Amino acid sequence: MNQRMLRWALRRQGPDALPLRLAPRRIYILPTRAGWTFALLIAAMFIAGMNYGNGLALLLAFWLAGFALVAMIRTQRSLAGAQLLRAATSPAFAGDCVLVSLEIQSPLAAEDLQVTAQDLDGVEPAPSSSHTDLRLLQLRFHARKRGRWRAPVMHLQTSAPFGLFRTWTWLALDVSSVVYPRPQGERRVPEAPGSDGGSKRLAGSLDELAGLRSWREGDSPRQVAWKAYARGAPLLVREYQGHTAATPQFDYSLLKDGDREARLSQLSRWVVDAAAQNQSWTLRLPGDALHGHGPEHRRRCLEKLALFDMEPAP
Amino acid sequence: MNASALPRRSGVLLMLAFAAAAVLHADRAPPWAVGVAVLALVWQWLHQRGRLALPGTVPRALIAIALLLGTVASYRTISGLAAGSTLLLVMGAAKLLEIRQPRDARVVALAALGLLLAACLDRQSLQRVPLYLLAGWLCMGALTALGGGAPSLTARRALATAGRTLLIALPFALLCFVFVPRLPGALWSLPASGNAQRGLGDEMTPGGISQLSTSEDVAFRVRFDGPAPPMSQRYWRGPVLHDFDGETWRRGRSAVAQPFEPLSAAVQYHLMLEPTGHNFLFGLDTIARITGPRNFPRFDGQVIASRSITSAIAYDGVSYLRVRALTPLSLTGRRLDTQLPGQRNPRARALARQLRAEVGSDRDYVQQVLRYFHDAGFEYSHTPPLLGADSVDDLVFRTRLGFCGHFASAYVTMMRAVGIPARVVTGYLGGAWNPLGGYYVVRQSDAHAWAEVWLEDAGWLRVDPTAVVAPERLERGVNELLESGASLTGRLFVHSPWLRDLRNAWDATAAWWQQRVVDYNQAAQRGLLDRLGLDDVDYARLALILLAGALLWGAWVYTRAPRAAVAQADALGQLWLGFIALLQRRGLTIAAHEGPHTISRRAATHLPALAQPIREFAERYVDWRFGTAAALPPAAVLRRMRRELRRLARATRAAHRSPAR
Repeated sequence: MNQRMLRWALRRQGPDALPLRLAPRRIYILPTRAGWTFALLIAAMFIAGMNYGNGLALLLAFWLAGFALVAMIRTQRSLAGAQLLRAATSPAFAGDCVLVSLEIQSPLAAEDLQVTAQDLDGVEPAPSSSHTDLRLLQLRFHARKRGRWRAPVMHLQTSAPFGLFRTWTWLALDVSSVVYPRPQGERRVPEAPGSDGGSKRLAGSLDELAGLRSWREGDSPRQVAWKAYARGAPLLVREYQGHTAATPQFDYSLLKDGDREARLSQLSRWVVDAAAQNQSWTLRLPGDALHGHGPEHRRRCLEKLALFDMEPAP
Repeated sequence: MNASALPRRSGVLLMLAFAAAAVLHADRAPPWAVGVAVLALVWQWLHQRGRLALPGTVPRALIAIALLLGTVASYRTISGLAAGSTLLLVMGAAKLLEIRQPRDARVVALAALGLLLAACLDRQSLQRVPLYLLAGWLCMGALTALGGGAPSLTARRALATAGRTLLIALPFALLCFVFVPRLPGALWSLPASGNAQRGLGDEMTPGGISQLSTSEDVAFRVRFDGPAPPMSQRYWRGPVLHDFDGETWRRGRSAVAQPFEPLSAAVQYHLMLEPTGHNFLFGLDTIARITGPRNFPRFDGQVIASRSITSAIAYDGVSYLRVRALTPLSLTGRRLDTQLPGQRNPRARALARQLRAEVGSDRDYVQQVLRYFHDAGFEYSHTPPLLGADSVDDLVFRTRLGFCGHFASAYVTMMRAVGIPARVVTGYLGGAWNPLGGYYVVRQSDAHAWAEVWLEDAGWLRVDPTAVVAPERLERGVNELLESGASLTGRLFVHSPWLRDLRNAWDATAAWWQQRVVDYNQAAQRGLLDRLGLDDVDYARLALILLAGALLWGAWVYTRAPRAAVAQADALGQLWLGFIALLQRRGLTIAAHEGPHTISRRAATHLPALAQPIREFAERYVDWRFGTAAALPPAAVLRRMRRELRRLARATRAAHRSPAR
């Protein structure tokens, strides 16, 4: 029943794109439990007032009914017209939680907005920022498997400001995240052939120039090839390569035993550790090799691992 | 449960709401039930302050069972208004000790609303309305506080929100109240709620009425169709008493009604009776008929309603001030109204026989006794001394000090002593004109007792012995007559015209409330619709009016409901952009990087004549956009800024053009 209603509603409201204005036609409203009891009370007052010709009881019944109607309109209006500005996700390791943050422009306090989903794990509403009417709602989802993760249909609900009605809408947002393989495995990094001792070097120091690549967020201005930029080239970054022999090689093909997932987990472990120690490393996957260091490099490596051998996103 | 389940703010409101609802029933509910409510409130209060734990599951169950049994023991039932209210009161109190989640708290708030409803069904007088309003407001405030989770929702804010919402809902309530069609009568009747009886009873001990004279409560209000009879003729007939045991007069067993013919014009009036708890109706002197509630006349002219008057009612009456009997008195009637208790009051009887011997006819004797009462030095007193077993003897020969009941009792005794049928009539005399309400108000202090005697050639004749003892009583109220005895408030009103006006105004309002609001029934509805020019409306048209009105109201509520503030935020930005555009039109070049402060400073130098309004506008913008207000500007501020901007545009247009000319 619920599923059928959900399918009907989703078909009705069409695909959601950000920023999303919550149009009245996609907002549903029903009395809460307290609301039903309140209605019962009003009915009792009405019947009693009608039967005994008691104007005072009737007036009270009508007044409370008016109150309930105002509550209904105000509850609906508190969601209708609200804007969903951003929906952000953070990547997670398998076994951890994907955090979905929704930024909503609404007159309601963050505490009054509840966002849930069917396979939810927990909701964490964060306090709203003080100067604006933006509310940040956060929701954690269990990430069980590596790969691309897509947010399920979410349910945004409020019963503010009176608790007599609850109004809700379904959010079918195209929000996705990447779930990295869980860092696991105790194997040592295999020595690269021709290594002369594995002296560790700091990243980006006196190493030889490996080439130029396009600029990405997080790159140091010192690495930017300003001369090339001055000549009219796009913003390029000089990429250095540490001493080849000293750079650890995380090679998928060198991990002989264990299944694919175990190997990816081991690689994930190494990448995480290397990044934590601020090292440079090279990740080699069949048909692919990534050299570099720093958080951006870590992210790219982990993403590669997450999506390794998966069907491309539809 | 260690920490309280409900936030402090809603807890305080909830307890206030329940306390207010309990107060509504405090005087009618059994004392133990009120005690239970107070105890529960104190317990919950101590609990919220962290001093006391709430009872566990088992004690709670035992408490609930004990309270249920207590209610049943008090009333022998749990149905009916009184028992139901008490049950709601004690069970709400029990629930107050069981608040573990917001849902429990909501149950308490709804129980408080239920108590309010029960109070409305029980009593509807105007002076209780403020109490009802307060209780309702607190209940809705508590519900609101429980409804929203925002920490900014303090008890005060919740009350303000609830109050504002109630005000917004009021037009809808009034619309429905006026136009929702009423039923012609009750579908089922309210079980008697054991209302206390007040006012005149159906028996009288001679001193009894004097106790009533201290009460300023309204007995009923009367509006005459046509001129009102003078005060000395406004005898309002209540219980007619026949049986006398020497101390107390009681209603007699039925005899045959005596048909009469009117000797004066009919007097028509509309009488609004306050609840008495008795089943008799009041009417002027000789009542021809009463239309309104189901009723029947007794043989002695008293009118009995088919049901006790537990809530205010109104009816129309037709009476005559002078009548003549058409048939001789029936034998049963003569026997009933000539009997005297055994050997009581021998001296008064002897006196009666002596006086009768002095005159030739019964008619003369009636006057002779009145003369005796006048000459014997009787005095009218509000606090007469107690009388012994031979009460009439005591009055006539010893104390000579009495109230109307004493004189009526003595007079009837002396009539019966010589075989003239006579009876005591109790009721009210007079009534004060309320110019604001256009009616006479008869208070309990106007209670009176007089006599009726049967003369063969005339029938029942009204004789008021009090009139010869204290003739002024017929012209003025008791309070003006008895300086020492009457109630303090009663005397206050006599001596202060200002206070009297105030009381008249209050009474007129109370009467309006009773008539137009509480008793707004099918007939009243039809009358009002007629006056609105909507004569001959049927249900379909009423429904149409209701629907149209409700839609209008709904649209109004819809547009003023706070919504996602996007539009308003934009409005502020747009105002600022409009301001910039205006300045640019007036020749100021503004760079994209310039902030509001720089712009306003440069604009003020550019247009020195308007430096002040420009600075003010910019400051307001800065305040709302970047200030500590931490909120979006309310609509009123936006309107004001828009107005300022328009004024600025007009003023600068003038300033801009004048140098060119």
